[in-house]
Amino acid sequence: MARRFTASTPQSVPPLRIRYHWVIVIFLLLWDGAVPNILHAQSDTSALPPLSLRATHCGWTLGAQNAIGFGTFRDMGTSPVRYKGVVLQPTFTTLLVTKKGRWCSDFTILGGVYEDAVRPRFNFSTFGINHSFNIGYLHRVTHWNNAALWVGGLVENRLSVKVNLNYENASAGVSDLIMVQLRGRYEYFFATRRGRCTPMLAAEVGWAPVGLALRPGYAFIDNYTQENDLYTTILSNYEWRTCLLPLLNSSMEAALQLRNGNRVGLNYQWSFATTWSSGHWRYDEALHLFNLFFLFKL
Amino acid sequence: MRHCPTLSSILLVVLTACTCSCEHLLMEDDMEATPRTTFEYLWKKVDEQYAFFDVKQVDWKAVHDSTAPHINDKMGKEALFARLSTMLNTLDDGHVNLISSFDVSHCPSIYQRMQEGHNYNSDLITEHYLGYDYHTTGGLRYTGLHHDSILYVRYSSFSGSASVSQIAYVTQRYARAQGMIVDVRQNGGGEVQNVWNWLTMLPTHGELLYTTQIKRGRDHDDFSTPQAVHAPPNNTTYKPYAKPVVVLIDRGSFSATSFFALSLRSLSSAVLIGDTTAGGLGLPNGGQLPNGWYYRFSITRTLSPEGENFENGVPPDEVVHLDATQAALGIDNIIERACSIIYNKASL
Repeated sequence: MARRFTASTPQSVPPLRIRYHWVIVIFLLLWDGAVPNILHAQSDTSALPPLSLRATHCGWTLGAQNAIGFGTFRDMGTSPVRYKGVVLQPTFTTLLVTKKGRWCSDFTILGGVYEDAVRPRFNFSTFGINHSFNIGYLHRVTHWNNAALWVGGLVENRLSVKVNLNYENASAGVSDLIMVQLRGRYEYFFATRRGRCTPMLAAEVGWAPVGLALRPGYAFIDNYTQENDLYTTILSNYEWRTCLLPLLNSSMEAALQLRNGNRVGLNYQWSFATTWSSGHWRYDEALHLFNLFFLFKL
Repeated sequence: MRHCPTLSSILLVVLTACTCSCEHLLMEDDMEATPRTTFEYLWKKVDEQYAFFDVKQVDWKAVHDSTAPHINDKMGKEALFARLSTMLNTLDDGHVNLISSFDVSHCPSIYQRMQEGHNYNSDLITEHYLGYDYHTTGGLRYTGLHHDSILYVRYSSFSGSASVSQIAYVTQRYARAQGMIVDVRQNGGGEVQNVWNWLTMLPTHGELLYTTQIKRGRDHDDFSTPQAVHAPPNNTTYKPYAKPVVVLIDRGSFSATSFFALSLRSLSSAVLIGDTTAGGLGLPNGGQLPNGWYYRFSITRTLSPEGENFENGVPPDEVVHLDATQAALGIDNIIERACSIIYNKASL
């Protein structure tokens, strides 16, 4: 841009007639006045942060997500048979984004109905409720003009309750995983005219290297014998065990960053949680969720 | 730092798609649902978790060896069901069942034993005691005997509702009665919660009722630490029933009814008369077999405060059998004995 300004400087001006002098003076005044403005404008443009930064709203953001999908689980404590079914999952998200990273927290409740894989006839015999809560920090390790890469970790508690009344006193099978999760997130923004909404794509991959599993004891039962001591009874019959790589998850996201800083999008999530081990300790659960989400800046 | 967004995006999509299909690699394949695997799975589950091998005196390994030759992968589902039912019935336990979509197994010897003694005659009760104009509150049918000086409550199943408020209402309705007879003969059990409701409405002082243990390991005698169960405090607005209570039991009183009887043995305010119950003092645990059938069996045991295992039946404080001669005359001598106990206690 500076070269254009230099080239525009007249090097050979033909003699002017006096009657044009005022026009030229006015032109030069306007030119002189305009050039600094143009320069300022140019410098302003060159100083703009990359799109990946501009499109990310810094500050507090609240989110609401509603997902529908399907899930598969197998709880060897009660059955060697896989169960599959339909799930719904609302999630409430809180984000605090800074220039360097983002603090995030998700509160999720999942409900589902399942049928066993041996006799799949839409005979849903099991009800499931999952609850998970995580809190963590993702650091923006690098960014380009249109993209950014975030890496961080979360602490997550994932509680799963599966209810099958055919199991009588063992009807409610509880599995709890407390995990430290590592997560990476990549965001790509599509350049649009300033002032327009910014479409974006994102992908996340997470894995928990280690976790703590809480499972019922060897005999899968809640031996409730005295209602005023229910919690003590339940906890005394559950066992703790550490497990490696209890969680893998990934997601793909297409969203629109609105002019007002809010974000709306669709997201596909996959997660697989397991206690590994074997025998009655083995609990596996996989989820495929299609998620409609809204993020509202505060 | 050079960055190629297209390449990065493609890589991430591929990576995400790859992880999405990982569950098929990570989840174990389903167990084969052949008769052989189904048999072995059920046998092993019982071997590891059943709580009463010592009481039942069953050599479970021998049961396996005698059953296994009859199991083959060509047998039909009815034949397999029959074999597995026969295997389970060696446990002689009313809490043991095999459940399929076409049949439910049960232990015939238990049902035979529940009828032993003929200590309960429903026609006799209906025609000469409860009558046809009895009252019903929840699962409780009741009336007044001897000009309302005795409250007679027939509670035929612990699955029937018996909340604290319902029990309180019944006792309040016959407040002038000198005592209460609770007839749980031929009561096959139900909700243990209703046992607690009854105990809540009796005067208790935190007595030790029994201890309970869960089967925790592979060995037949590997149980959890005994957990003491005490009489529940009455935290309700209803006053406990302070008058004499006599509970009628017989060989048809099973499961939750045996819990009720065992609990009452520790309470001074109640007297158990009749015959030994049918037992069933373990909590049944359910599960599923590889072929989709369900099973259940007891995986806890309950011991009296003195350490006795009454799985085969809780004895009464006073043994009274139904006298057929008197029954023919319209007299239930067990109820009459209960009345005399109440009168005696009330006069003290």
